Amino acid sequence: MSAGLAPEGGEPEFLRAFDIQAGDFAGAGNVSIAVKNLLKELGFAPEVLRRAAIAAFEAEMNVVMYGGGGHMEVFIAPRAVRLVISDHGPGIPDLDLAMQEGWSTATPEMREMGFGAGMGLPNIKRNSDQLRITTAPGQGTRLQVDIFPR
Amino acid sequence: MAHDNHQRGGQGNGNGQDLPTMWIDPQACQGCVLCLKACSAKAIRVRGGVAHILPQACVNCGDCFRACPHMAVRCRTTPLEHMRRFQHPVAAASPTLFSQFGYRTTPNQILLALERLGFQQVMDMGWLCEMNSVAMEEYLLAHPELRPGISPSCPAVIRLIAGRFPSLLGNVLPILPPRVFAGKVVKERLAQSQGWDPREVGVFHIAPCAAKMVGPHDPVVLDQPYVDGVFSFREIYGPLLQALQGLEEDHTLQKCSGAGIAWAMSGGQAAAVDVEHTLDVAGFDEVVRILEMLEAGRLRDLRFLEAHICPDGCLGGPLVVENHYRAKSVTLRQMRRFGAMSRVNRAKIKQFMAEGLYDWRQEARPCPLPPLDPDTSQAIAKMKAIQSLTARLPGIECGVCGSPDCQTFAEDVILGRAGEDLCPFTLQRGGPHPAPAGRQTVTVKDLVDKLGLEVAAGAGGLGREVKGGYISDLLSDVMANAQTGAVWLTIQAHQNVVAVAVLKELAAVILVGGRAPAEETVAKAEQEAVPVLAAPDDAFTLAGRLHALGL
Ligand SMILES: Nc1ncnc2c1ncn2[C@@H]1O[C@H](COP(=O)(O)OP(=O)(O)O)[C@@H](O)[C@H]1O
Ligand code: SF4
Ligand code: SF4
Ligand SMILES: [Mg+2]
Repeated sequence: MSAGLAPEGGEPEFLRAFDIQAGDFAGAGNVSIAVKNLLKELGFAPEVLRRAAIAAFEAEMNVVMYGGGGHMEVFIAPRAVRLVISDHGPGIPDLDLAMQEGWSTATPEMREMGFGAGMGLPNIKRNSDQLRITTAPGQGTRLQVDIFPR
Repeated sequence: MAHDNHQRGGQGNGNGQDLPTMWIDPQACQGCVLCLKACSAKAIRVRGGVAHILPQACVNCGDCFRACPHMAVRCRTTPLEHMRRFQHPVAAASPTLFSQFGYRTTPNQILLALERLGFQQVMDMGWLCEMNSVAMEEYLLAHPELRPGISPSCPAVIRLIAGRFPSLLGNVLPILPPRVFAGKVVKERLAQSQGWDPREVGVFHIAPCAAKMVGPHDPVVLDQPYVDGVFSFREIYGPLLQALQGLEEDHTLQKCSGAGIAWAMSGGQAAAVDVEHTLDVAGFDEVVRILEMLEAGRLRDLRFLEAHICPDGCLGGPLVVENHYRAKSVTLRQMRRFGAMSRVNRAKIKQFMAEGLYDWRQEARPCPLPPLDPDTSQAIAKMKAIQSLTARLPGIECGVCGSPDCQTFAEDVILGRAGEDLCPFTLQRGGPHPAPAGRQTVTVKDLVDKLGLEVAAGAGGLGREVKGGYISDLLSDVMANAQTGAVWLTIQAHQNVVAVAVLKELAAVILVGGRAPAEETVAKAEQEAVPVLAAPDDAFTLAGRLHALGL
């Protein structure tokens, strides 16, 4: 969304990929936890871990709830963390609307479980230094979250 | 119980700062994998046939102690005779002690029996626990932003948080846990009112675990200087049983209700701290799961978290005497008998809080395990190396290498804490691994490269190791005498040589004197991945060149 910030110290390289299961509320969050532990082992600062965990969790939940399953890939450079979360679900018809705080198509059941506040995408944006979203109806959704350690 | 001799004073509760609380006696250790597998912190390694604990990673949960059938794992607690080192010994026993003597023995009788053992003051810790619930509750009410507040009572959980969840340290309620509060009240108030020399007052916590011992890797040493030692249930049990014999119940020490009696049982605090949304969790892996969820920003509604590292809370502590299901049954009976209504005076607790009596003197300090490398690029490189080594390991998690699982073994290798050859599987799998000590491995490929041989067939087997050579044109002779792993120098080019090579597990067949394999030989060699090489030299010359290569 913001114009391409070049990460310092080179383009992030692929490190690992994780599957995200559709509708798996019990296992939801596990991928984010694994990603966070990975970043912790690499010695990224707590501030990076915190932002990455929030972005990863919200994106993972969206794939679980709306995206029909997908995966999260982790790319790393010494001064950049890139998370690419993609699914082959229905896509987001109106992205501007979806980016607005409070806008949500969550079902009553999802809301009952504490989801559907419409804060997910805005929180991802707030916690990333660069966010690219590619989506179209029927084409799935792909989020590229870049976080640059400060 | 094993003890070390502790010096009095200075070092707080009788554990030298540099001595680990959990350790493994190398004489008794059989080098099996039971503790290795039991340790959720992955703090144990077996090297040279003996297990040892990595103190920075250990949280003193006691799971290794529970797992060891050879009594080789030791929990360091304070020897009982240390109470004689003080003129005024004071007992502060975990209320879990009330569950250890069956249905008929009351908390009051147990407190009186402690008095009989020579303690000049016996604290009713059940009562102090009830007070603590009110203090935690008041703190939570005054800090609505703290979500959730985490009980500071289990030291193993605090170590776990400081090591693996440092971002949650700020959630630990800065309210002194009951045992430390007891020590502080005794030393700062009671000693004065009794006219005791504070240096002659020894406060002893009586505990179902060694986690309460202050160790060198503690994130926060709240217990000092208030608690002078930790006696284990197991050690004091016998003397207490004796003291209970014919005990005359002539006065009352018990003030607590069932709320205090059950306070250290899993769920006891979650029930007693009256705020919206409390949660109790017990057991190492379960606690980790909840903390991970908290760190991932989940459970946002939670106000109070009670977490015990032991199953069923302190009732399942490693040093209890009673079976923890039965202990729970006894606790529930006592709760019914004494009621769950606490009689603690809230105004008084608020006053104590205002006076700072519950305050920590020290901040909890994070002590995360170090990253793979302080330099991020190096850390990334190491992680990739770990990933690729892990991919070559069988993933059967056998523990034969002495590391708890294949992934951790790969980490140990890349971080230089273990040799790759400790894994019995890496050697069979090819790939970059160190050669067995003292001898250089030669592969068929090496021979091809160094001697300029032609690969006529069976290139799939070029990675095989060459262990020697054999020259013969008689198939039965080869069947009888060639050794496994030999290269076979022959003029026979028909397909049966491949069958012989397969049966004898030879490394390769070398057709000498410029001979070429028959068509069927090529087909069979390809199928069996037996390298068939062609050399212009005669057998004698080629053998000489092979010798020169060290075969
Ligand atoms: N991966 C996705 N696939 C399809 N739709 C999505 C996806 N992610 C988000 N959305 C849509 O965007 C809306 C807003 O998402 P978000 O900000 O995370 O809020 P919430 O998840 O609380 O609804 C969702 O309700 C959903 O309609
Ligand atoms: S006490 Fe617990 S953490 Fe420490 S080595 Fe034993 S099992 Fe591992
Ligand atoms: S749960 Fe209780 S007995 Fe077990 S380690 Fe924690 S404080 Fe000790
Ligand atoms: Mg969402």
